[in-house]
Amino acid sequence: MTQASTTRRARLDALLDQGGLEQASAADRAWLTAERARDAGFDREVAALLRAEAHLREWGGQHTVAGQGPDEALAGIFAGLDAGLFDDGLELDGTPQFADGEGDVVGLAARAAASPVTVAAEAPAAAAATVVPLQAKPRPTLLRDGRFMQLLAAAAAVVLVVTAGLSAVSTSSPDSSEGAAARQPSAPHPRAQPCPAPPRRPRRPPCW
Amino acid sequence: MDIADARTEMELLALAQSGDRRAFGQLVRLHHGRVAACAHQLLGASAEVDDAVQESFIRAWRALPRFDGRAKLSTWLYRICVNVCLNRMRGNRRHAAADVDDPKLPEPVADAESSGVDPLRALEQAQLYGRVGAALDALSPSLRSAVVLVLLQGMSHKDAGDALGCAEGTVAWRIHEARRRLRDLLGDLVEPEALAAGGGA
Repeated sequence: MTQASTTRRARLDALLDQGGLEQASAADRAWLTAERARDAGFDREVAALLRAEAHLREWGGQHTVAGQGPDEALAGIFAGLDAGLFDDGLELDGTPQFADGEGDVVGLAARAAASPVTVAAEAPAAAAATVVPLQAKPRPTLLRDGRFMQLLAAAAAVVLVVTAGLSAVSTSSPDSSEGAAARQPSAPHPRAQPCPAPPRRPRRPPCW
Repeated sequence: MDIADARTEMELLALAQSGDRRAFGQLVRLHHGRVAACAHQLLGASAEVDDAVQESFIRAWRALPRFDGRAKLSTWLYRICVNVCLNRMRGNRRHAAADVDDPKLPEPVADAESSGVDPLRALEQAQLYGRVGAALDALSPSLRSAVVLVLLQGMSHKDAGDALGCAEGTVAWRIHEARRRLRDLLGDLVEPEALAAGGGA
C-alpha cells in the first residue's frame, strides 16, 4: 500500500468514525466524491465499506436493549449486593487484558480471587500474575543458594579440628613414651578431615 | 447533602461513594441503557446479557471507592462492562452464531396481511443480522470491543482508549482493521459485483 493510499484510507476512516457521510463536511464529501471518480478500485472499496458500516449499525440498533429495564435490573443488583454476589476480589475496573491483537482473551483478574485455583485454570496470565509475588519474595539470606548447608559443613569441620587438637594436647606429655610415640612419623596424629559437604538436594520453596 | 439535594452526576457519585445506595440507584438508572447496549453488542444474542449488566453494576458498586474521577463515569462503567463481557465470552464462542434465533429480532411472519410485515423482508433481515453477528463474533475480542465502543456506542477514540486502556492510535488501528475484516467477512453482502450479480442483500 502506498503512502498516498494509506493517507487516503486514514482520512476515509476518520470520516466514517465521525458519523459517516451524513455528518461529513462539504469539503470531505467533495474530496471523497473526487477520489471515487478518479479511482475505480477505491470507489468499490468505499462502496463496500459503507454497506458493511450500514449493516453493522442496523445490527447494532437491534442490539441495544437488555431484557430487563433499569428498575428490574436495579432490584437484581441490590439483591446481588445483599447476597454478596461477585464478592470474589476480582477488580474488573482495571485495564482489559487482551492476549491478542488477535487471539483469545486471557485473565482479567488483577489479583487472586477467592478461589485462586479456578482462576489459574481459566486464566493462565492471571495465574502467573498471582504467582509472581510469591516467586519474587526474597528468601532469607542464609537459605539462598544453599549457603546454609555450606556454612554448616564448614562449622562442623572447624569443630572437629579443634576437638582433635585439644584431645592431642591433653593426652600427650613430653616425657611419656605415648607422647614420644605420638610424635613419631610412623604414628601420625589423627588429622581431622574436613567434613564433606552433604549432597545437594533439590531446593524446595520455604513453607511460609 | 441528601440524595434529594443531589442534582448532578458528581453529587450522586459522591453520595454513592460514601455508601448511599439510593444515589447509586440513580446512577444505575442514568447509565443502564448504555451499559445494557454495550453488553448486548459484545455478547450478541446471548441470554447472559441481563446477568452481565447486573454484574457490571455490582462490580462497579464494589469498586466505587477506587474511582478517582480521572475518567468519565460512563467510560469507567464501559470498562467494567467490557471486562465482565470478556470474562463471559472467554471459552463461550457460541452466542453470535445463534443470532438468527435471537428472540428480540423480528421473526418471519406467515400471515403477512394480518401483521402488515413482509415475511420475505423479515426473513432477509433475520439472515442479515445473523451474518453480521457471526462476522462480529469472528473478530478478536480487542477488535470487537473497539467496534462496539466506537462504531456502535459512538465513543471518541480517546474515550474508547480510556475504556480499553490503550492509546488513541491503537483504537484507530483496531477500527481500521476491524472494518477491513468485516468487509471481507460480509463479502457478498457488501461487494458491489456480488450485489449486482445476486440482486442485492
